[in-house]
Amino acid sequence: MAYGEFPEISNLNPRFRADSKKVKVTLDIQITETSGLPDFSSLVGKLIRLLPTLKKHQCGEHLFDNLKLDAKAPPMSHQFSSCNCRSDIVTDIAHLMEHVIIDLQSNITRMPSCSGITCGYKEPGYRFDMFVECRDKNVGWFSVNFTADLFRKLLENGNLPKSTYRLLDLVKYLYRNGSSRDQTELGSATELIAKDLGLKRNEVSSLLQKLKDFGLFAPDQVKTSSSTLN
Amino acid sequence: MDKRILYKDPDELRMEIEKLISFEEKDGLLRLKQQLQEKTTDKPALTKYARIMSCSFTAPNEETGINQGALAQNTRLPRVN
Repeated sequence: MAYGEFPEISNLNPRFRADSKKVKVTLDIQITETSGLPDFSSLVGKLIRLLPTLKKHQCGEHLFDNLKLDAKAPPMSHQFSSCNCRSDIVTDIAHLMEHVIIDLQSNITRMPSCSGITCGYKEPGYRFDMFVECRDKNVGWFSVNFTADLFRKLLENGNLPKSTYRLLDLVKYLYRNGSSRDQTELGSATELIAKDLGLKRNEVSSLLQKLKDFGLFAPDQVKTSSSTLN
Repeated sequence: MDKRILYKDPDELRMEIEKLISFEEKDGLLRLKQQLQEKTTDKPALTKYARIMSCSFTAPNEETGINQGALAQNTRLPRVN
């Protein structure tokens, strides 16, 4: 992962703001031959329950066209493209991950707009570079790591634990209270956070540790390379 | 009489032209070709990509209307800048 302006890609999305900082991530997505192809409608439906503003995204590839959503999921204007081969699916997963990273950035840091691009390599075909506008490097690192973990859970297990929702509540709470920089400073505030969010104190401690693992407090100390989804 | 019409074989014509161009000129032409290719593709670093997809999200006003400064002032949590 890297953080910077990346002027070489600034013309590739007309919605990029001039001189905006971006987080860049190189991602390998591999679906094993033995595992069945993912149910995209279900996947997107679950993502929308977690991140409702996903359905308001503008997508240059009409990624969400013709999607049959889970009945429990809210209706959306865009639907997923019809994926009929493994490479299409891998590409759509990569692009969907970019949407999730954009949504996280927007909702956590309250960016008025957030844009990105997903660049698929010629070789290997499962490798992608993503560039997403990023107001706060810490949140950018968190968003990328959280998204990789989120997709791994959804593709491997099919469901999200409640802690995923609580983690998002906590990171939004911390950012809006100006406390997303230093975990040690938050140690003394665990009880207060637990009270404000209606959680147990040990739950908050566990979630804070998770946020640390995802790079929210010290992104440069997080060991990252390209993430692989199997 | 135009000498070119005497060459019936295109390969023969090409070889004759190559003889007329000096080594230095050929090197210069190759560099010019490379520069033109770079201009055409705009950013040579991007040629490794097969496909580029774009997307964006513009938050509706009601979703960005929170005054973060006011929120931060009211917080009881430790603040780190």
